[in-house]
Amino acid sequence: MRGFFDVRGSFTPMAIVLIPIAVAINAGLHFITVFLNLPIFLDTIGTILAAILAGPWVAAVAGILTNVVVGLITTPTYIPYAITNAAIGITAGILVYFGFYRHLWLAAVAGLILPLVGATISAPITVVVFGGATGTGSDAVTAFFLASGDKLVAAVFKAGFLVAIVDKLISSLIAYAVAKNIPAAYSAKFPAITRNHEAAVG
Amino acid sequence: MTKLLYAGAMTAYSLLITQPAGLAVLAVSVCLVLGLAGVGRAFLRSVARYLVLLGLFLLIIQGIFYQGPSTILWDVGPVSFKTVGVAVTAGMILRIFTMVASFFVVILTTHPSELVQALEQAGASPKVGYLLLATLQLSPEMVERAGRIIDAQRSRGLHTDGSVFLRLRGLVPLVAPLFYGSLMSVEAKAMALTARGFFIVGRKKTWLQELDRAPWESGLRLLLVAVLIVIVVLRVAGWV
Repeated sequence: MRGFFDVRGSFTPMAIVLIPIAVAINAGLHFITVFLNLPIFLDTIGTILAAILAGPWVAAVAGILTNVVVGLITTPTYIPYAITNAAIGITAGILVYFGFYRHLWLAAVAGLILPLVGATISAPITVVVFGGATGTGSDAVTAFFLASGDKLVAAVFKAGFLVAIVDKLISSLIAYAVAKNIPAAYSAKFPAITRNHEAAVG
Repeated sequence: MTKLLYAGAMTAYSLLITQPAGLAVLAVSVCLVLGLAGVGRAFLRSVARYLVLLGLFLLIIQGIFYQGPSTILWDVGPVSFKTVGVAVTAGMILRIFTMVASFFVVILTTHPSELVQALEQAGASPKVGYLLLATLQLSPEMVERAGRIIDAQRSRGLHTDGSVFLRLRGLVPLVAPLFYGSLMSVEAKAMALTARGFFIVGRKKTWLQELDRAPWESGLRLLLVAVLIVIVVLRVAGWV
């Protein structure tokens, strides 16, 4: 337990270099989904991957940086949601610790837990900072739940969860598939994995 | 550094103030700064459309579904816009505008390496600096690499259009090379950094370029903090 969740021990040279790469993977994947015109984002796979390789804290930093950098480059309204992505990184790290990325079906379960956490953290941010709207397609879903009599926070939460669920499910499964195929000789260079070999992906 | 404090302070102000009039004052002040910095047009080009879209959605959500007593502004078929909801929307848009615009000024007028240098000289860890810089540099690079992978796989006959499921299947051959290629580079970069002594603690660091600081910067910082305190006091007293 201590080794895996040790904050200072997590940030080895390999982990520090991994973080920008994970963020860049998020950006690159987002580009691919836009190119393929898919209704998903896939911009958390890099974060999940960081969690698998280097633990929750590294993943949290990767998550925060993803939003800060995307915010700085394109849309500044992403920045408040850095908190959400940090929570997703930490959650993914905890899921990794309990072996959720060792089997396909468990990775799918993880793909259901992540959007739950994400929506729980995002909804208050959306309501407090942006008054309930996000400027994306999920606003239509929010309006639907509002029309059926929900309170604003509840409607935003449900909309966020529904929109994220497919995205996180696919992200989770892809991260599992990628992690599964990383050679042991490579993953052994990350401390979180070597110290908790049984907790990591086979 | 002062610029960063400015953006942070503006965000804090806009979150603390609840009256639309106060928010309007903030928004106007940011507009002035945008104009002074000469980035007003760039700002309009890149962010304005998004803000308009967000505003429309907000208007719908807050205007129609605002709960509580309010006069009805106008009726459109089965829905009706309420005055309070519209007022809330106006306040929200002004607030978001202030936040977005103040950060935008900082981004457009500061080179990332200057920002990182200022952060490190203010006492931040060089690791934090590396993270910020490397991420800013790598992300566009990775987008470019993704574009190359798409081209490569299409030249091998990959379908990138068709039904949603067809496109989903196309995801795998596009995503896998991106992952493995970039994960490979992690090790090389880590070694390069270690070889240059990046992870040695307690070394003395010199800078290639000195930052030039205007003499009035410290005064401006004091002013920003002072205004923040005043706003907090006013907020506690319930005036803004």
